[in-house]
Amino acid sequence: MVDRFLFSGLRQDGRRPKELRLIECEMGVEPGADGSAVWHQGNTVVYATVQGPKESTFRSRNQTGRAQISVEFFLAPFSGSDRRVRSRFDRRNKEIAQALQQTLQTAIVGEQFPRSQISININVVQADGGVRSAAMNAATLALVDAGIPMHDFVACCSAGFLQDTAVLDPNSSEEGAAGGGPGGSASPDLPVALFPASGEISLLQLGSQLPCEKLADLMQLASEGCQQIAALMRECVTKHVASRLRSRETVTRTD
Amino acid sequence: MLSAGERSFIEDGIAAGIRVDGRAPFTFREMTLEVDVLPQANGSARLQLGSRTSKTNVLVGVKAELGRYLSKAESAAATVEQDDSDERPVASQLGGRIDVTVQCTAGVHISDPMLWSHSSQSPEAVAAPEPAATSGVDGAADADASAGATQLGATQGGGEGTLTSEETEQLLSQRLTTLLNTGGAYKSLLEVVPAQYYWILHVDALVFEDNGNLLDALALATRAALHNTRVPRLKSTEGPTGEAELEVPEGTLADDDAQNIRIPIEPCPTFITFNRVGPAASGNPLQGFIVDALPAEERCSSVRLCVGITSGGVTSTTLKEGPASLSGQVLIELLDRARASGSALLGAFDQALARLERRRAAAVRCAMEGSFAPPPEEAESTVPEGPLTEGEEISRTVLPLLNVTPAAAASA
Repeated sequence: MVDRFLFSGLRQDGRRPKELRLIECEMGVEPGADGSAVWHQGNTVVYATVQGPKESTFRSRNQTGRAQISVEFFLAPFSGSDRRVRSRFDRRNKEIAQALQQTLQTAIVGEQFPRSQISININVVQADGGVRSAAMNAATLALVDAGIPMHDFVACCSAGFLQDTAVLDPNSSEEGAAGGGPGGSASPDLPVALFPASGEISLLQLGSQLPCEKLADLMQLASEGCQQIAALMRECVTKHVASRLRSRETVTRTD
Repeated sequence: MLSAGERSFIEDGIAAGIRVDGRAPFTFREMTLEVDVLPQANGSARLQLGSRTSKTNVLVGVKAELGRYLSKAESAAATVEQDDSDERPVASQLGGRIDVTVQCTAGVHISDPMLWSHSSQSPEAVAAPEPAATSGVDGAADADASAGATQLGATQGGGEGTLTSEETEQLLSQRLTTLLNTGGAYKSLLEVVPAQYYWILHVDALVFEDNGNLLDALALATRAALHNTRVPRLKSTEGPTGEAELEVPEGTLADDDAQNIRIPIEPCPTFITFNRVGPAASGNPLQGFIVDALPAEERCSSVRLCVGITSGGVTSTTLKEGPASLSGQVLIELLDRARASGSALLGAFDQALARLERRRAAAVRCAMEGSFAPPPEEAESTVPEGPLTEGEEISRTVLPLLNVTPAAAASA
């Protein structure tokens, strides 16, 4: 088995076990959309755009008193290390879209826009692990950019095990590390999304076996990662709003 | 849909030689070109046609795959398994090629007013189609695509019998694949071991936004992506069975030009699409024709000619589309114009690619000399263009409005 840790306990990409990858994010990247954001996390790059709130595409579909979120998820064929064309009906894509839809639906204040629809489009240009969480964070920033009222941010981060050590934000080679998990199973990867203000968890997905006591540790680690990400998101929003205000000031001056 | 007033505004404007955004008929919009944007692909480019808020935006990634010709015994086995009625060569016998797949990203739907399926027309119309409906070189392909999508077209189409987004993607993919592989120049260029191994370049073109002239944008972006595509220089040794065995030499870096093969773009053609807005004029055969049409202009267009052209001025795949017909004289004039426009467009485009290439080389040189992140000015000082202008980066450049009228190109 390949040793997943270097001599001094560093991971193969030089990170400590509880360290996030380099995160860069930007809002308002797509002027044609109502809201947009790009999220870079290591080599993972995700674009999110938001259209709406608008009238539902099929009016009969949403007669409720709140806005309905719909999510479309697209993974570029060249995003992974091997080329793979996925159909529009790909199961994994649908599952991720559904997880995003459910989580974000609870985060927005939908009562403000009855019988309407908010479309979120996620485009993954590069996938190097943590696609689900990067997509969630990008979507949150895009919703903020679109001016949709929200109860709180949704911050998402994953954690996993490598040779019995809990690691934060695994990349694709660490996610796929066979034998990383206890009992030689595929290394567990646990994405957690939470509302940073209350610390309440809104998404938790585990796809492999894990002893109960380890799950609590892993959840704790992922939650800490989420809080770090939430801080970065707040900083990004503050910066974006400040630049918007500055640009508005120059407009009023020329008037 | 366009109102009658809007339509006549566009048509009258073009008759007077002015377009809705102020351009002359044979002028391309401003282009923003960014290369080497995807570290995980062998080559990549992003092309934006038009301004910030309304643009056609495509991203192209190239991934190389090693293909192998089947030996005689293997191909015999494959033919037995295959349906006897299928006379087409097995995919693995096609050799080195470029394979283009166009896909819309999430939330994007493309519709081309010039392409339509027959599905939503009345049964009589399907039984006896108008000559105009199947005109164009690609008529057979159109018919194929529409036959397979009769049910789809009725429910998801953009209305009035236009093709669905998926069908349009398939047609564009087929068209670009044909364009790049005609002439067979790449078949020999992509050979690794003669008669045994070859490269297949998978070109994945993603449409992020479509605001007119998608086909030309896709072809140009593909050209830019191929320009920075690098495939490893494989070491071939003779195996025990006499077959070549390939390996990547140790220590090969993905971006070292000495260890990689570059793909020449001289044989790579591009499309130039001419749309005719308004009726045919008797005096000037090119009256009403425009390049780089906006979506509204595409909707007013009655006929269009997509000409595949190389930088050497060789005409490649050419398609005539739309309900109106063209006279032979107009067609010849258009092809002449396409040759002149093609050399002007590709000349400017290739200059931009060379500029980006020099900048990258300078940046790499600076990095090798010790400073990890060279400031752009410093990298720039070693290249002749001078400092970067606004909106430019080391890997991104802006091509201004480009007039491809022969007179304008000659004076420039």
